Amino acid sequence: MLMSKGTTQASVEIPTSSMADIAFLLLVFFIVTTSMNQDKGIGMTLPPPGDPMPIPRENIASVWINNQGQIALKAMGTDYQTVPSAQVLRQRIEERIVQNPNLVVSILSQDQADYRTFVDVLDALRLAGQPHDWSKISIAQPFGRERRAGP
Amino acid sequence: MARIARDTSAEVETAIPTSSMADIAFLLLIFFIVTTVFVEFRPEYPPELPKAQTVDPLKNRRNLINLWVSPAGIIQIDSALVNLEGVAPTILRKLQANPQAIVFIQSDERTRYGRVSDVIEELRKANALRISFSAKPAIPGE
Repeated sequence: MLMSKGTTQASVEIPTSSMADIAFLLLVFFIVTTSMNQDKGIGMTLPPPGDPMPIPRENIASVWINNQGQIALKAMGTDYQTVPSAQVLRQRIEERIVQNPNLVVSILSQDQADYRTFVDVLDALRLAGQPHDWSKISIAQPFGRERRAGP
Repeated sequence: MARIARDTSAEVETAIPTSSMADIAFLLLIFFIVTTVFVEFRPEYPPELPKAQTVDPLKNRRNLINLWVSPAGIIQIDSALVNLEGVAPTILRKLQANPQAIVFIQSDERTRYGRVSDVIEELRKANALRISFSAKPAIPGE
C-alpha cells in the first residue's frame, strides 16, 4: 500500500527537463535566422508627376556633375564654379543656406556620371543642411542626351 | 539517524531545477520568433553600395520594395528582373498591396547615373514618391 502510493507520487511530475532542450533547439534556429543589421539609406520624397512647381530664380542653386565625376556649382549672380570635392561643396552650400534658408539645390547630373558621385553630392548637401534643418534638394533629369519619349 | 538525514539532504541538493530553464528559453524563443523577418529576396547581381554619412535606418523591412540596379543597368524588383518599361507597372502593383511602401533603391556605385534617373522617372509615373537610396554608413572624415 505504501509502495503504490509512492509510485503514483512519482508519475504526477511532468518531465520538464527535455522541454528546455526543445526550446533551446528552436531558439538556436531563430537566433541564426534573425538578421539584426538594419537597412540604411538616404530617404527622399519625389515631387508628384506633372509640371514642376515654379521656384523664384534667386532661390535656385544648381550642382552639376559631368561624365568625369567633376562637380560644379552655379547660383544666382555667379557663373559656374568647379568644386574640387564634395567637402568643399558642403561648405559652399552651407554658406548659401545661412544667407538664404529658402534655397533650393537642384542636382543636375550628366548621363554617364557615376551613381557614386551622385550619392556623394547628395550626402554633402544633406550634411550641409543638417545643422540648419534644411532639406530642399531637387533631382533633375540628366542633361546631355536625347530626352526619352514619354508615354 | 543522523547519517540517514545527511544522505537525503545531499540527494536533494544535487538536482538542478530545470523547469524554469524552459521558461527562460521560451521567453527568448518568443522574442526571436516575433522579431525575425525572413530575407525574402536576394539580388541577382549583389551591388557594391556607395558610402554616405547621412544614412537613416529604415524601420520596417516589411514596408520596403527592393529595387536593385546592377552596373550594367539590369533592374530587379524584389524577385523579378524587369526592363525599364516594366518598372512602373510592377511598382504600381506592389503599392496597391501596400500603399505605405518605400522603394529602396540599391544601386551599385559604378552604375551610370542616367540609368538610376530613368528608374526614378518611372517611379514618379507609378506615384511611388517615397524612395530611399541605399548606402553604407561612412565614418565622418574618411
